[in-house]
Amino acid sequence: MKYSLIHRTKYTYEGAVTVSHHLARLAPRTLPGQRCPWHELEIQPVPVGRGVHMDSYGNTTYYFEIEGKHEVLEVTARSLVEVFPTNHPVAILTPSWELVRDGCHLEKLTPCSEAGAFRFASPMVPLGDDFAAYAHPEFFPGRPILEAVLALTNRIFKDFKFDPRATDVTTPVSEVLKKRAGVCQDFAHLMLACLRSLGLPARYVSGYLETAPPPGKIRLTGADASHAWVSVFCGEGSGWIDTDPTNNLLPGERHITVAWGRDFSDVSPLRGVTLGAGGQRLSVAVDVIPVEEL
Amino acid sequence: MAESFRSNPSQSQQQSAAAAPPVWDEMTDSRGLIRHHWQALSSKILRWSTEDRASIAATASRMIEDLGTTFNVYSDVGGAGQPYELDPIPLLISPAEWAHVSAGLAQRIRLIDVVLTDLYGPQKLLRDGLIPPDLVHSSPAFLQYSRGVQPLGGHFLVTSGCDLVRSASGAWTVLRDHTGAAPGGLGQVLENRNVTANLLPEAFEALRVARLGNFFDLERGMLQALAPSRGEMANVVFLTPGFRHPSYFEHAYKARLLGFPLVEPADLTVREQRLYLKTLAGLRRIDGVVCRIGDEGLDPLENGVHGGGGVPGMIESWRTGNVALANAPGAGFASTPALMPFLPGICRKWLGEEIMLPFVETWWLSQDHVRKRVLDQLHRYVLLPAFNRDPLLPLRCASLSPSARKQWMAVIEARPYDFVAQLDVTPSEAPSLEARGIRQRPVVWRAFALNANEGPMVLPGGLARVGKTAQAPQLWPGHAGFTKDVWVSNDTMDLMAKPDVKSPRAYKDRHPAAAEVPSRIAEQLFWVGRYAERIEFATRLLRVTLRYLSGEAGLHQQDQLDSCLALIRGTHLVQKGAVIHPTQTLKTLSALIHDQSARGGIPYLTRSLLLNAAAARDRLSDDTWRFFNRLDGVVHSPLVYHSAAELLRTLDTLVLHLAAFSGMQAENMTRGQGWRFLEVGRRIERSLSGLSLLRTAVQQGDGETPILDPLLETCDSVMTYRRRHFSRPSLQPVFDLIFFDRTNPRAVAFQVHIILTELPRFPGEPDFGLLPKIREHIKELDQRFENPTAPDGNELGRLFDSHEVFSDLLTQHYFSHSVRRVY
Repeated sequence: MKYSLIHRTKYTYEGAVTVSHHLARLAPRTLPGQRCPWHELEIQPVPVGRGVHMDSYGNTTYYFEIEGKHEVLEVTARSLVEVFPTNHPVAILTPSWELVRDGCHLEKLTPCSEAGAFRFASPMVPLGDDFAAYAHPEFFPGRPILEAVLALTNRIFKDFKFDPRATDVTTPVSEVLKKRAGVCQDFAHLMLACLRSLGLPARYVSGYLETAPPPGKIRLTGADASHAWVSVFCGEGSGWIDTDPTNNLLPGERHITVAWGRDFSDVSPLRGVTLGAGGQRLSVAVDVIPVEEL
Repeated sequence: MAESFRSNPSQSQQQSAAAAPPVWDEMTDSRGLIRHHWQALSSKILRWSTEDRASIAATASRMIEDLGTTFNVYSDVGGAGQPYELDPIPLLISPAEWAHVSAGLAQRIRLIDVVLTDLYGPQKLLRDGLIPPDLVHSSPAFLQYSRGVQPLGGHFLVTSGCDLVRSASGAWTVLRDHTGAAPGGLGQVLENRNVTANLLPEAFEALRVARLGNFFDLERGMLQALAPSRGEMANVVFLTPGFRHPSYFEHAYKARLLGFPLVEPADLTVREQRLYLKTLAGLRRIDGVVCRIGDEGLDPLENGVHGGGGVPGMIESWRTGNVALANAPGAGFASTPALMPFLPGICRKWLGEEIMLPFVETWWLSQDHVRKRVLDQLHRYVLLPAFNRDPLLPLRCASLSPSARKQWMAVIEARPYDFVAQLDVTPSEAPSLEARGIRQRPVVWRAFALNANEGPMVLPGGLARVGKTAQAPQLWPGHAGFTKDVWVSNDTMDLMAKPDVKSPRAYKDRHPAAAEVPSRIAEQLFWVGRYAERIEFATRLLRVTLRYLSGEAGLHQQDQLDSCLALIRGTHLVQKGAVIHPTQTLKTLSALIHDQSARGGIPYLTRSLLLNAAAARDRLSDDTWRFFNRLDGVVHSPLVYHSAAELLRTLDTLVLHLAAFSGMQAENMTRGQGWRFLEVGRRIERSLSGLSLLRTAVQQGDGETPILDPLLETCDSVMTYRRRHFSRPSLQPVFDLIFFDRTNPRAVAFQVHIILTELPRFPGEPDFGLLPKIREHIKELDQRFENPTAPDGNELGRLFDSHEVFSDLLTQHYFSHSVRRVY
């Protein structure tokens, strides 16, 4: 599947900003199942300084500075992406979850113990008995890991209500667990907390999801949004397998991966520190357009 | 020996229960004889009489107090500052011991740097199984953003500290490494040396104590060499979190010694991936930073979770090789005691050497086979946090009740990677001076090393921390406490033969950026000037008022007292529209002089003065600083009720102190830009005071009014008036003297004129930014005095506002740097 992606972020400041510094992670990754032949980042006002580097998770990270009074900052990321069909492993053939858990604990760096880096608490994902307890029914002894993960995905999908008003970006995961509501970011963090509290490595994935317009309607511009889901390490043979608790499915051709890390704080699409502004208003518009439509 | 460091308790017989004597005595050997290197000192201290001891102790604490008032921010302001205590008897290290320990420390800093460079790079150590991957993965101190960075200068670890205890068998043994932003204590070493060498000059000479000066010369040179030369000497700054930090005084001292400007995050800015210092003359490129801020406070942009201070973009600047940071962000990871058991193996495999310094038996509990054995005999250990996360640690396991022990064991099983067990050790004991005599006290030696390109260097000395209780040294408070100097005696040629630590000031002029005043410092000094003047004005006005109140002023007393109160109401001493009840006058005045909570009163103003002065601490002379501290003492009174006579005495003292400060400013401060902003602040404030007095006088009515006497007195202009006019004061001549007279240092015209004459010497290109506007503004003000018509109340109000506008213009142009001027 080929897509044309446009991700527009607009900050409107109260009062003029004189200097600002930013980090952006907006370039889709190149993966075995995904290609990004073209990507560009347009920034208004034009930055005076800019740089690009790979962060420690391999995400392309842009740095830029803006100098001189401005009241609006607009960042537009445009990409062409091709996503290939995924062959998901057969769930019952994956190793037991305990085997995966214990493999991460090796005293030497192997693919397993390297993945083990993603099983500790991170800035936005704490560990705790309550998370382990929530996940526990799905992780009975000897259960194949992917089967358990799919069951947990299904449970979160059923137990939690999608409600953008229930949480904001600062709502702690423990509160999400109590409220049983939130958005994709909350469900991803919650699932990470559950898996890691059981000793399993899991990472946060940020990206996009193609949403099909209702039958007979045309696609509305800017109607899509950035999305977040989870990737779980399922042992050396199966590697990392993505799962989307918000939609209760294993991501395929309609999920586009931009970045991954321990949690949202490692991959936030656009972060900035401004000098001079009072408050700020943020508007984001995302378009994921299948190229056949163009 | 080699095998004993394998990470496995069963094979390890580190210095646990092996040796016979339970505690090593630093001064006396097992036969009761004084050790050779202690003889010169012991013959002296053992002969001290009770009086000698008392006088030495008194001198030591006086000298520390002096340093305290000089280098400690006043505790009310800083919150955390308090003079530390010094035990004047140094810890002595023999030449042979020193040779061994210094070689061991040099090896250790080299080794840890190698470890850090690999962990932030290819991580071969993890692949080879020399460090368990989880040790890196579970540590929040391991910084993801430092991964893959090639630090400018080549080293992640530039300076380090190491805590050593002497085991019962006599070997100096590593207790803890300090590799982060603040291996605390290096500044204190110098202070201790100054005091101790002065107290025991003969012993200091006789023992040929190794001098410290060379080490700091090297450190300075090395820090400058970290950053590549851009054709001139590298600009290095010393970054401190600010004066509220408990170690601020040490930062200020050390920065002065190295000759690097002491800066806070707000002084720095990143433009085009380069780091700049905001100075009065514009933005000055910075090549290197001595970081004394924890990693989480360096750059809010890289700090994933919201908030956090620092300099946005600083990490990008470091990542792109535009600035050197020492120590590099993330170097603090190696401070974890969890790493200690793995170092001997790495040393052997990677450096091809055996590790020279033994370490106190330490285990990271994430390893299953290790944990099992340690938990079986938990009582022998002190439980430490692996990565500084637990407020309940450190904990001495021997003191746990059986139930508490069980609980802890459960916690450890749940998160084993968070814990380290370290053997509960008893350090050696050294003589310590106490009120009742000389006592044996446990000591821990903090040594310091430098990872110079030519090879590691170790400070021949250090900081000895003295234990006052039987607690294990792991439980001693981390900062300050009781300390002593460490003397490395030298029986061979003195390789470090150099005069000892020079006065920090000696280096000041050697740094190219030293003459440039950071904008923030100028701003603080500007407000020091304004507050000092405001306090002086308040003091004079209150003194005059009290004289009328206490009946020392003769005729018209009540009228003039009322006028005084009107004058007070016209100032910012009390809130607008405040009523002073006649029967409450003394109480109100007393509150303005002593009440810490009264907004606008003298204690409030003094606090504001101290806050600004504290933030500009490294720009003020020691004498000035002592004076500020004394000022606070004068207004601090525990009494609730004060008589008018007492209050007058206090105000008289204050006036004298304030005159002393103006004198110091006039006679002792070089006419740099710092002085200029202090002076302009003072002038603006004095103009404002004069204008507010005159406005109240005008509002009270024309002609001969009782208000003019106290007004002239407040302006210290009674004598001049009487010399010129042989009559009771009237408004026009008062205006001539207090408003128009360019020769009267208390007149408004005089202040404006001074600012006008200083204007050509203001920093920066004359046509840049707001400077033309600033010039025009002050010229226009000055023009006003050409017109002989006395201003009415409204005009006085306008002139008052115009001064405030001028103050704002200076702020925008010089302090806030919204427009870039790079040089």
